[in-house]
Amino acid sequence: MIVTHKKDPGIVKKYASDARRVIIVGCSECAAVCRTGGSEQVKEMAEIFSDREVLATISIESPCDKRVSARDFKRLEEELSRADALIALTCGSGAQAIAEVTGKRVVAALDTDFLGMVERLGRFFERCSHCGECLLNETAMLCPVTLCPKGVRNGPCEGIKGSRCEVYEDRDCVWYTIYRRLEERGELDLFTVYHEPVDWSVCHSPREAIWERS
Amino acid sequence: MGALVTAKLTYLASIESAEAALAAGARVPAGTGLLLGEYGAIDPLAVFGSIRKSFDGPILLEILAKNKNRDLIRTSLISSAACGFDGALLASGLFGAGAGMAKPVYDLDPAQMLRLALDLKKDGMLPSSFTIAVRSAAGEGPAERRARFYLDEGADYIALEGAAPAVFDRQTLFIEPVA
Repeated sequence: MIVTHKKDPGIVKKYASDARRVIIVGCSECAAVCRTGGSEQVKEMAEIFSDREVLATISIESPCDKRVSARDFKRLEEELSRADALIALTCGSGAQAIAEVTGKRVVAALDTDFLGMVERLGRFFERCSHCGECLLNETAMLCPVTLCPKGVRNGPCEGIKGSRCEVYEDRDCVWYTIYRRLEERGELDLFTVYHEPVDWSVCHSPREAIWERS
Repeated sequence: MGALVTAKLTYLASIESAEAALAAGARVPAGTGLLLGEYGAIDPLAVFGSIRKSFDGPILLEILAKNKNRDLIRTSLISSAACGFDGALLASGLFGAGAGMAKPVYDLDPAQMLRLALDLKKDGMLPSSFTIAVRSAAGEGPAERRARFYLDEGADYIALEGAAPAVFDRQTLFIEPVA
């Protein structure tokens, strides 16, 4: 799930200062779970823009999916033609998809933080950095690239203090936990399997995944 | 192998002025090497020549991954040897989290830095006498296993601040920060 947080409403309004007619766009997937772009937050944003003409509010199931956005905006063709700007309560990917689909000016109302694992509502944790070279099968299902602040792929670093991380002293070093898990599984040989540096020639932005037609 | 005549390194983590570096160099106890760190405003390469004039023991450069990508680590290794450093201590480097902090790099970890350094040595880009050490954590379990990995890979030494596990005694450098 994409974790987001709200931008300051004053800043959102500043970027939409010359828009007299707006449409508020929410996301009923990730941003709804984060309570940053669900129907409640869409309503709140409409209140914030009550000094303008709010032509419509809409919650799109996956605004980052251009097919879904295009389908849902078809229902708002008239409002869309009159709108000066769309206020996007979506992740950055969603906001850009909406801009591409509508050709309209879009104001991003959220900041995008990370790809999160949901423990329960309000507790989101980053577990994957989408580096493109997954080590999980050798690291007891713990990603050191994400869980180590230094992203050390062959750890621990010299900063480990007993079991604790050098940076977050209240947390165990992920390489300590990996070691313990591998030890329990009788797989300690995996601990010193050498992991090559990331090949940045294939994983720099912007990345694309395009299926070959069969 | 780049063997050193000492097991102790006096550590000057940051160099803020050439004068301070020279003064620290002059205070290194006999029989001890000098380890110059990269945390200060002045690059140790800039003061190496001056320090060498007054200190004839081994001088090592601590090369950090925190602020360099692999290209710059390679440059640092080759430049340090060209300047006359006797060796390099490879380290990830302290992660300084704080307001306005720079983007941490950590393109390579110490194990990857070690492979890079050993490859440079094999290719003749570093002299065979150039010492390659890796900063390690003291302790058992994961720290000890990783230290053993460095030595098995070909590091001349591991370097520790604190007590070393007895098994590594002969291949351990002990770092003593300048007070």
